[in-house]
Amino acid sequence: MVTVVAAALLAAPAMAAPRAQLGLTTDRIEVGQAIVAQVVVVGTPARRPPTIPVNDGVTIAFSAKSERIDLRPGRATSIYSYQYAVRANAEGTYTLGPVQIETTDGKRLETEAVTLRVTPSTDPSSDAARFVVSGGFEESEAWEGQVVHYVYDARVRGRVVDVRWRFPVFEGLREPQQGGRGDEQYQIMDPDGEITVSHGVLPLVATATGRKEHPASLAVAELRTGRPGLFGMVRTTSERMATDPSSLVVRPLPVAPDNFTGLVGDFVFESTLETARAAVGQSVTWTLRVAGDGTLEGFSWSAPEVDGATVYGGETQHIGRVEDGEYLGMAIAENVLVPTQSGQLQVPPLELVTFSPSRGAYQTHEISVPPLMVTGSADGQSVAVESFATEVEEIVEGDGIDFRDIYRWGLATTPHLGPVLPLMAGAAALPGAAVFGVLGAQWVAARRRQRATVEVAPTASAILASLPAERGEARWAALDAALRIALADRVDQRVETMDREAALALVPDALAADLRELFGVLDRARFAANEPEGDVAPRVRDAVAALEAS
Amino acid sequence: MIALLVTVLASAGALGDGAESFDAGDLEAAIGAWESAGDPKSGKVLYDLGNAWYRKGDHPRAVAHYRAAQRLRPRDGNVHHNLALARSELDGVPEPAAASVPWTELVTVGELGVLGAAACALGSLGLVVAYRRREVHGPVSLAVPTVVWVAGIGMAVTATLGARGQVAHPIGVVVDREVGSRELPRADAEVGVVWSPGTELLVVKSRQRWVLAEDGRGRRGWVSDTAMLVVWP
Repeated sequence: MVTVVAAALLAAPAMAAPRAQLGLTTDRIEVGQAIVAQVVVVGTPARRPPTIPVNDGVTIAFSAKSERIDLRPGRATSIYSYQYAVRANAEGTYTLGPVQIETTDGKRLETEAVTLRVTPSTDPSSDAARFVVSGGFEESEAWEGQVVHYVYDARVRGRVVDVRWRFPVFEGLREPQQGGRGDEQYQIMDPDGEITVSHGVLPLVATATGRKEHPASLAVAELRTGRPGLFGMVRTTSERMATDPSSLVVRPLPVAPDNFTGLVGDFVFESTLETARAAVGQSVTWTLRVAGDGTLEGFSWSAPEVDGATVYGGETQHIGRVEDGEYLGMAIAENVLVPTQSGQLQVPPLELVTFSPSRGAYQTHEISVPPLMVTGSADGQSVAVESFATEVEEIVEGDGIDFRDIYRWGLATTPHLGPVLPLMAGAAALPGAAVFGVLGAQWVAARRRQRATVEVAPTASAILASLPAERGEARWAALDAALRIALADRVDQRVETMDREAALALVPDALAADLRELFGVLDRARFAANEPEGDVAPRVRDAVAALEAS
Repeated sequence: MIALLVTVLASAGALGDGAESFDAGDLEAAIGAWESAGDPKSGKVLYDLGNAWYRKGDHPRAVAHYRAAQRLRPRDGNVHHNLALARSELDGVPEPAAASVPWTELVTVGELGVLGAAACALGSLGLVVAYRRREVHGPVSLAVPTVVWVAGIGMAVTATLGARGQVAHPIGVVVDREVGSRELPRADAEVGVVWSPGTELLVVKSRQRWVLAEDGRGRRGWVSDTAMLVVWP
């Protein structure tokens, strides 16, 4: 544990140096399931996606590469991630890695290996396998003031949007002032459906001694239902599942020594001076870094008096977070040391007393401070103090991060086209619509003409050629139709709408008189039962011929 | 034409005034100049405002302005680049909510609308010409102008619906302090997801002074409309 903390602490100043790490979303899956592995390279990209060595029983396939920039005060770093799909084919414990990486600048990096445990697959149809929750303290016993870890885990099959947790009031425990819970949510691809895992650690400081029983926590899973609505909005339903209750025994601290700092946890300390050489009167930042698995809230450090230098107190920065499932507390205390005489300045080692839960006893840390060579003149290294904002600006603009400049000319306002778009498009489409309208009207008219042509009676000659032989209504009607059609054709009118008298006025008088008489004979035959003497058909044929000839 | 020229010159002046203040390090004055440039603001002004907020160290506001600039300049590499830088300064924020109208990440509604109107006009012209030729020379195919005309109408309709979608579902950014979302639009409702400053949220719907927001992971909750900044172009 302390090793991890020390590595995190000491790795921080070397953040810009190339480093690589292999990680898995989880270290335990079932046969047939798949998870994501990630190789992270800091600083320089790999020449090609690295290969993750593994034994038979697990297959690994490269899936994607991504890049992001990590900007922090004092440095800016590119971080390259290579993602892989890891599928378990057989039960067993497998070692993935170490991964050899060749970066584009020719450097060779190596990650640590990670272990993956593959267990037999469970029955996915059982309710127990569909929504599984667990929660409890990592420690069964703790010391007063120690940070304990409440670990919670939910595994849900189905289309999960989110899993939320509701915790009980933990009597005799409280959250540290710095650093809240560390949550992670990831998916395991299973042949019987995706499994969403919500896992987290809630750090709590033990404030009361004795055995305490703590109620269950509640996991609320939001699952997608049906298809997304308009604009891709998701419809969800909630399911709840409670963990088992948990318990914790908190022991009181032994009687403390006078110089006890109040820190409970396993800590490492590091004291550094900003420079190894300085001039008399030059300000040198003296930093004490503390990191450990306990909370550092309220911790402050005032540097002791030092012979040959004046020390000015500074500020202490506190940081707390959950990292790799463990609480990590850090404090950075800065003092300013101003040498007052030349020669080697050796600051005596610092002594700080903490309580170590792993040892169950108080521990005295002796922290050495590197010597400082003080010269009489100002030939030391430059230690110009600059504001945070200036540092950021330098990083952004001067150290390779390309912050794009502002626009200096152009329109400051722009018209909104949204409201006028329908009008614009409508106006533009109108001529086309008009053409379609005209074409449509023409088509309709053509269809009507075609229908009329089909429905109209045959020509006068055709009617006369097929006259009913029997004297009677049918014969008189056919003769009348033949006469009308011939007259309509003669005056170039539609037979259905032709005014007979008006049409007769347009033909020669003699012919008109003959036609008028024939119409009269046929009308009387048809409507007054006054049949003509003899056959009228020859006279009608003559009249039709005369009309066609005139 | 003269009015347009005057507008262009006046607008360019507003951009330049802010730029001078920005170069002189007077970020307040630069922001003031650009904010007073009038509405609706152009993508360049929104981008410049994002840069000013970034320089001031207010990264959530920078993100809000870059997102607004992105709506008007979706293919501007500078906007994407500085938005990525601003996002990299934020801790503890979920994935940014995607635009409510996905295709607007490639083309603006204005561009698609103008393109649609132009296609409509071109199709209309082609149809009129083809119709006249048809009357004179007999049957002429109307297929090509018809396809262009229909495509233009399709683009214009899509752009109009997109514009409505953007107005109904804008992107808001949590600024200044953490915001606890609530399961109901009430101050006494249970708190769900807590969103950190810089979280980019999609507005699903509004009810009085409450907004139902959704983050990039699909998690929803009601927040007060003052809890997040919606920058309108």
